[in-house]
Amino acid sequence: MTHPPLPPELLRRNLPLLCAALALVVTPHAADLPLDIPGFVWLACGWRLAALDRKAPIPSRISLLLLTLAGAGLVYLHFHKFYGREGGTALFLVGLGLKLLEMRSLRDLYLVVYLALFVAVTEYLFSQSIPIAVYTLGVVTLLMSCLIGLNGGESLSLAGRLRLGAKMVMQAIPVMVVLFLLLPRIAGPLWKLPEDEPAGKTGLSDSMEPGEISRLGLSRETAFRVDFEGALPPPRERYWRGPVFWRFDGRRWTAGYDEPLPARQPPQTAGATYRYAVTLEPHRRRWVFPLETVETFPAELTRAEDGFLLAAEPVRERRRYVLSSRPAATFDTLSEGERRRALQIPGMPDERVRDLVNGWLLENPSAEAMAHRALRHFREEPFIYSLRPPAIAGDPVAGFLFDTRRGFCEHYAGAFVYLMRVAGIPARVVTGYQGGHWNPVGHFLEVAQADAHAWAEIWIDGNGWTRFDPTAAVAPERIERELEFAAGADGAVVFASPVAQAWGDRLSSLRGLMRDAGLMWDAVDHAWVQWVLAYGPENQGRFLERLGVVDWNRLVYWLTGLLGLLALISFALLWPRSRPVADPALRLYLRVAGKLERQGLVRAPAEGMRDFAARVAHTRPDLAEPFGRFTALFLAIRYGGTAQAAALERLKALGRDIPSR
Amino acid sequence: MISVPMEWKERFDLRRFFSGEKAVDGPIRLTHRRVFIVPNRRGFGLALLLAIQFLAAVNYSNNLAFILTFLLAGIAMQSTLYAFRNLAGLSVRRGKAPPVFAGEPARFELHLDNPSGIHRLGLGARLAGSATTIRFDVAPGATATLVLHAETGKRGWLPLPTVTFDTCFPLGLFRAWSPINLRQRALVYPRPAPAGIEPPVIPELSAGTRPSHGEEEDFYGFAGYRPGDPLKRIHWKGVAKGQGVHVKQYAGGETAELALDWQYTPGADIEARLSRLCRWVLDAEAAGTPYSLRLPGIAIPRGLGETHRARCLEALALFGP
Repeated sequence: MTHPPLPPELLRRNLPLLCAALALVVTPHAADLPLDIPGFVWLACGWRLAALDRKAPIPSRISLLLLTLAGAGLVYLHFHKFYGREGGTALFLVGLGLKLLEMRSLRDLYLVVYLALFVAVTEYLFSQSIPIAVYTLGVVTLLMSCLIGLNGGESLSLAGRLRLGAKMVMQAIPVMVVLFLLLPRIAGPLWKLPEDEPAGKTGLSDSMEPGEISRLGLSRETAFRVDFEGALPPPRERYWRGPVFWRFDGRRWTAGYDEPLPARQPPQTAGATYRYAVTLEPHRRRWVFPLETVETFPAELTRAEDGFLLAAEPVRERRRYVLSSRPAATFDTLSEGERRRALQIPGMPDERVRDLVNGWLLENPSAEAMAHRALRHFREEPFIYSLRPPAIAGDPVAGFLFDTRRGFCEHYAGAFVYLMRVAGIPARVVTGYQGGHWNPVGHFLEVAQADAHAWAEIWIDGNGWTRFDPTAAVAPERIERELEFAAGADGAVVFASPVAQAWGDRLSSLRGLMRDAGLMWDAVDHAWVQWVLAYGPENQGRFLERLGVVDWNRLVYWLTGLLGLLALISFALLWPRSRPVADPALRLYLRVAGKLERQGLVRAPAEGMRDFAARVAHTRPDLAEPFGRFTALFLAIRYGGTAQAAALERLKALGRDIPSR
Repeated sequence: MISVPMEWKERFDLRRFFSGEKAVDGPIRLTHRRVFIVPNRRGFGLALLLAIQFLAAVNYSNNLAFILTFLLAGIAMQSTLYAFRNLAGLSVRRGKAPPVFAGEPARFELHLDNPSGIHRLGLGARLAGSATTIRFDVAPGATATLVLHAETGKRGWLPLPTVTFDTCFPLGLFRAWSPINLRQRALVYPRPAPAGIEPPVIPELSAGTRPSHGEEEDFYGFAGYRPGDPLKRIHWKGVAKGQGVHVKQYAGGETAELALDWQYTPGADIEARLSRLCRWVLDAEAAGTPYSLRLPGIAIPRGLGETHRARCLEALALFGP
């Protein structure tokens, strides 16, 4: 069917606001998509506005066709497909611009607004931060104001439209909260698009090859946040355990679980216990990073043989896990299989490596002494901590140890474990995160992707697996202090020196303020993540259980009850109130007139009060006397100047005498 | 504002949603009983959008997408209350409904009182059977006077058709409407026949009683005022002196006085004859010729002027069983 075209006057009144809203709704996408995709929409808005002022022609059928081809070509050029996160979003943006250009009827205009609302949602695939949430709230207000303008007639000003739009958005928030908390959530995904997978990032992978961690090494993105209940472990205890690597092929470290590891004894218990909750960002892996050594954990997790935790499913949404750990706990036996595995090296070691290890063995053959000797080697020889190490030719371990001597945690941990194995000491590589940034405002530890780390463990009889961090020997600041570090042009890390610190102190009042603001913001963001973004099917289940909602029936009662209550409250607030009549006597008269109206006696608009009384007396002789007296007194009070309190009381009494039926 | 208790059967009668309740004298206050609300096509469009957004939110486990979807649902829910409130509390009074000739549109005036502090925006009013909707706003405490036009077919009383007030304000997602029936009617005169046939001259029985002496156009005396006498003949000075209302009588000139009689009116059927008589009444008024009208069972004596004309036309409009 054809739809009637928009009246030009309606378009003139509403198009500027609509174009402003559309231009703003695509603006955040400029950060995630090539600039020409939102630019397409900006151009369409500009064209439409110019056409309104007759500065440009309204796009013809041919130019629309060409623009459609151009838009689709643009998307294909950038993404080579029309689906997936980037491609699909870009397609929606281009579609929004095209629909705006060919908008003719009121139906088209609504379609444009609905498309814009969907485009607002696509932005959430890229960012779910507080600023984006507040921004879209503003854009939605603008779009609603557009709709109000379409329906509100001539007498509603722009300010009036915006005010009403904002009011409606605000009034909808309680309903939104109830639906958000109570409407049953289904665990996604319902369908999967091939390219959606790498949306989660992690600084770790399931194998370790020198150079791999570094790609995310400087990302300040949050990996997880930890709320401690009670004491906080000192910085050197903050090792968050992830995958453990046993097998080395000369270049690459892997888990090497060809045959299952034997069942482990539970750890001995000694030392302090830390209780904490980890709020994990989605990283699409099963790993959960506990503090070493984890003791209690939720039933949905399993403890891997190597001491880290695994979720049942890859973590696709923010999750919160309540854990406890006891750093001093150790495993007390090493099976033959494990010992063999922990001593594996590929082929014969390099001549230089063997000489080095043999020399150390002559000094002191105990495992612990060997480990400390190796650490001393790293510390005393000119090893440099660098995030951009040079490429190594030939044997990677020997090349690193004797030629390049520049590397970061992966190089050091790998080389250390290799040296121990050559010396006949069982050793393995552990990856995970180290450290974290304490937020004193929100009282939580923020662990960033930049904190991804690799270290080593060796087996010491009587002591079990013991952690050694060779990186700490080279760059102790990396481990023991919480430092903002930045890589220089050559990739060498420059740590803040005392001189720089002193210089910084002079500027510190402003920077201190900024740092405090930053901490405050992190705290707010953590609360946002923890209470809003992490609220998924599981958290909802727990929340509902706490409310006592355990079955569908009760959920339906809660939902309908709360929504009904909100509707009633809005209703009471919005109900049109009649203006009170100022004169008390007239108010009494109107009340009595209302009583008579209910009995079918309506005073005609032109009928005088005396005439009405006469007519009432005629049709209802029973009312003649009371209503006659009432009318007489009313007229005396209102027009005769006898406005005394006593007279009013008398009038009220007379009014009561008139029956309601 | 009359609220008669409603029978259950009537309360659930579906016709009430579109044709309203029984006609009353009014004023009618639009209450929850009279205001209905359902989503329109654009509202269903939004519902579809929200369903898609919800699925996308589930698929990507995206809480902000959930939040926006629920927020829009809340706004839509809020808009039903706003739409309802835009109509609720208004009160409708009937206004004038002047007589018209058959074929001309009848004009019905309605007064819409807004006794509240709310600005009623984007209201519409439409008569049943009419294609056009009037759009208007009512300021707080103000009264809007609407003129609605109804098609007229045949002569007689035309009752005010059902008036439907509606609004899609504020978002255009829901339509609230209220059909009301006010007991108001407009008189429809017969359609005047085309000019051409002159009225036959009938020997008037009373002609002899009239004084015939004196010259043409001569004033010859006063007579008591009868409704229908032309205003220009009233002896205003006498009225001012308190001598009562008298009409100056002239003799002579306007001898061409008319007696319009059903019996001598040509026409194929009743309606045609009434149309013919209607035309003659209008012509006589235009020419300033006094005329009398005689229909079976009705005799209106000679006269001229607005009142006389209205009396004659009403007799023609309502003639018949």
